Amino acid sequence: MDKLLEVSGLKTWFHTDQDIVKAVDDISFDLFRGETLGIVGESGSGKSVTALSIMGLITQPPGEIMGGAIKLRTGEDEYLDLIPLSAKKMVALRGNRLGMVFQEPMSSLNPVFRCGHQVQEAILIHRPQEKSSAKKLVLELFDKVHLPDPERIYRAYPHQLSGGQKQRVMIAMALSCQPDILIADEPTTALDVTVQKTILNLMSDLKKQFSGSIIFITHDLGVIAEIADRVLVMHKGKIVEQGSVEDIFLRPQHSYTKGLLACRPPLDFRLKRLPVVSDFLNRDQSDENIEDVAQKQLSLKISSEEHEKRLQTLASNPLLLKVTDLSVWFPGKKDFWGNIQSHIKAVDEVSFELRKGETLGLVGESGCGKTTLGRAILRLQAARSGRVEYEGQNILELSNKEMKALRKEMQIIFQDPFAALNPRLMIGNALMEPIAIHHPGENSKRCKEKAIELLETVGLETDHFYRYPHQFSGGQRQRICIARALAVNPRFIVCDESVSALDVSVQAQILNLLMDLRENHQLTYIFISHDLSVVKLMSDRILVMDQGKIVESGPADDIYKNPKDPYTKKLIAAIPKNIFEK
Amino acid sequence: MLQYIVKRILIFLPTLLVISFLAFGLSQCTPGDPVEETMAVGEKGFISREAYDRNYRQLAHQMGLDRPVFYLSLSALAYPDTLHRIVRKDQRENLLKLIAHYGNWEQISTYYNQIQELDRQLTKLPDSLKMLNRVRSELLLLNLNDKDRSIQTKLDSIDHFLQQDALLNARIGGEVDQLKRSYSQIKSQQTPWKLKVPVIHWYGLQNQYHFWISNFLKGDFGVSYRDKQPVANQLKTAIPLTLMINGLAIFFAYLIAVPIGVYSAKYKDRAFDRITLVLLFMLHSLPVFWIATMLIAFFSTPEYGFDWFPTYGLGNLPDSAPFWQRFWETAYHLVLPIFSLTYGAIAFLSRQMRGGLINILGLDYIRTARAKGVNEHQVIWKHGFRNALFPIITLFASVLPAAISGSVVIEVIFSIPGMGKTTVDAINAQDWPVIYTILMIASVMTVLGILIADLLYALADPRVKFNKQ
Repeated sequence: MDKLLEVSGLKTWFHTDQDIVKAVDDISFDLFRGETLGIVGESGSGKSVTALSIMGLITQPPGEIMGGAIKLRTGEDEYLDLIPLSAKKMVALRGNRLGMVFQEPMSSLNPVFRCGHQVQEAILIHRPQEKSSAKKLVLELFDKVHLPDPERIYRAYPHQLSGGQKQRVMIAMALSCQPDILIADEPTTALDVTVQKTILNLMSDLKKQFSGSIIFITHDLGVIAEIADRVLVMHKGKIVEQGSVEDIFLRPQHSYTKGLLACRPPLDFRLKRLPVVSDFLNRDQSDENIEDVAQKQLSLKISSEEHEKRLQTLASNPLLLKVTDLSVWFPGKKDFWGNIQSHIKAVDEVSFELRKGETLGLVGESGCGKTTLGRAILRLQAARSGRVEYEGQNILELSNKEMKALRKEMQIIFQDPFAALNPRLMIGNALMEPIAIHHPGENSKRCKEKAIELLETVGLETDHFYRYPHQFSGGQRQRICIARALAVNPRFIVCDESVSALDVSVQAQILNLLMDLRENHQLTYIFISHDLSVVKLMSDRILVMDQGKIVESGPADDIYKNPKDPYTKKLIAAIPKNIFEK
Repeated sequence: MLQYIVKRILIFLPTLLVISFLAFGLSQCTPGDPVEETMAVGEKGFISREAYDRNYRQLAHQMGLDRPVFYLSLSALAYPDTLHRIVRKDQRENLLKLIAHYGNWEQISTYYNQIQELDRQLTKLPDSLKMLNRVRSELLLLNLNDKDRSIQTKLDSIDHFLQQDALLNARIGGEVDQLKRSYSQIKSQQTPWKLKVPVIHWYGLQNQYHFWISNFLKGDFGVSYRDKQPVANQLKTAIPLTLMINGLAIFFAYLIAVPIGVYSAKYKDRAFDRITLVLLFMLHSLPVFWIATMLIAFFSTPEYGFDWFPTYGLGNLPDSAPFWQRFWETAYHLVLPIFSLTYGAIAFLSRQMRGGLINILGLDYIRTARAKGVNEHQVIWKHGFRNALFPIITLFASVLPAAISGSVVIEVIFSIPGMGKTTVDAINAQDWPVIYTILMIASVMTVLGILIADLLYALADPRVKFNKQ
């Protein structure tokens, strides 16, 4: 087979004030013509840096390529090393022989230029020609990436398009000069599952017509299984394993790969707790009986009888929360005088019940109103109408003082652990604050003891008390947020996309923590997520939301196995299936 | 786009209206009698009191001061809606105080009319009556007093003088008794409740504000107290000068600052960036008055060997001189003032430009531009620059009013008769009409600057129209 690209011994380091971060540390791989190479790994594993190194887009300083070679095939047995290449020559290759699609379609297009112009620019740089013929090419490309009404898109500004459309424009741009190599860096991560599905379908279609090769970078093993021919698994700047996609999924060799495969919530059965990567990494390598991924998951399986029993006990529990016809509207279109013409019904007459100890899953795509609903239940968002009864008391009618007293019963854990903590507040103080507010009599020594106890509950250490948020990783911060929510001994917690910003291995740890806490503290959760597999793992019952309305509700397993509403069906069909499981 | 512009303008107009209310309201609070201030010096003191009164009335009428203040008024029932007809400001204010004490306008007006009537009678009497002038001066003081004790004293001393002059007593004794009766009626028939009942009066278009604003729109800004010339005459020479100086300063500031900012962003943390940072910071921290004085000291005196530039003014070639000769003469005089105005702005603007561009260059779409093979020059000037312009456009809103109101310090130091110097001189001379005109023009320019910045913003950023519709 034709070798298009040969990367050998590549080292890309970043110089920070304190030390050197070896983002990519001595990796070697080949890319053959016509294949799709998947690079999979968690955030910080160096997969994006690898891509940027190939493109010559490492900003210097602080980044620097310390060694190795990136050889691009230029002819029969002729290879060109890209690393020592002059900036001028590299500019001629970029967008021409190397095309790239980025993660964030929202911010990847220049807001002040029309979409057509931006694609046309790439063509005119590398294939100088008349503007009219370039425009014709652009329209053909837009058609090829299945953009509706190419003429309109050509004239539109980026803010007038949806996320999926923008990503199609990006793909058209990357393909505009028929590159040999198309690098797609997490092209679907920022998109909704259903949109992700259409983009993945587009990419597999294009792959067939496309003579070059694709490097597809993602953290999502499900996506990799759908699109890649060969896979590299990266961990801490190194390639820990590479092989065909079947080998990686069915016969993983490295324990990190196994951990990564095992810690994803399975869709077909329930688990007591998720396996985590450290279960595999800490195992003695010489051990002959390295546990199989599937076996590991099966060992933690909850039998359907056990689950049935849990559901029955829950059904006899008293009602904790009753939501009746809750509506939250936002002002929509305004007329010339600024009067509101129409409303966006973010939550539209939603009713449901929640029993004590139960976990209710709330799924839907971005903009469906699930976050607004969660916030409205806690009165963090004003509702337009309806009732929210917490133990028989309509909390929407409580005075602010009564509400404050009730706040210690109900807490929320937010999506972004980086934004949810005050960067200038010591962790200990962040934890002591809610205790002091809700237990005014408590002396500071007792508060501190309680805060340290909380840190231990969520699996952190005592000396973390004196640290600041920036000294923690994303997973640790989410643990701190959970500890802060637990500080007032709540009985009811809304988890709003609490694991969505985390890596899959960290996600598994946090989910396990939430399940343990539910067990030990008799907590009731509303678990909001766009990821059906996570919601299914956590929840007893699921509500599916679309455009502010609940389109379907029922026991978690039923919803997954026998979806009735077409929207639910679409949602389930869009989940990237691991074709090698079952 | 059209809708956006119309909307902006619709917001712009009421703002102007409110500004005009404010400026007019402030002018009402000014101490001093505008009629008296406007009267030519020769018309005071040396003419008879009758002539003075007549002149006063005429002038007050010309200035529209015999009209009600505003379209409508909100006051207590005790106050009449015809008070504005009393044109003398000091008398009017005294009556207001009396009303505030007793609340009975009927009695007070009788009392006031009797004083005026008595005054008229006294002027007709021959000067030979010995106590005439003493009685008269006491009587006139009644116009300016509202405290019971001082009024009583004045009335008593009038009595006292009359007793010494039987002839005079025969002529006006009855009227004086009447006056005393009216005054005691004021005190006996008080209606303080009328002070607590609110009343709205509607006066229509014949009012001072309407008169003032319509004249203002016609370009008639009133008469300067200082030289008794229309304010417009003063501004006519000052505005073009200031506009030229500040316009040039702004032009040079942007011309120099934008490339410096762009290149410091491009070579962030390299030698060029560091050196310009230090230099500009040094310049920025030197105060204008010091730099300007130093420039005059070093570059316009032969003692230091650099007698290169003139010290003050703009040259005085006659208008008949050839254009280019006048041009070079003016340019020669402007070098130092414009430098003084520019250097601080360069530091500020280039830092803004640099910061904005550095932020932009770190964004995803710049990476996209690089990834499609756009060369570095185009990445910065085409993809980065336009986005980095937004904060610079916003600054324009504050630049326009500055261009009109002028730089006081520079104009004073270099003795340039522009708006800044005019303002200072007007303040020193308490020349209120000039001050309020400048206040109005500066406020209108501020609002206009914001409007223009808004429109430029919409032009540069396609998202603005979309979001604000």
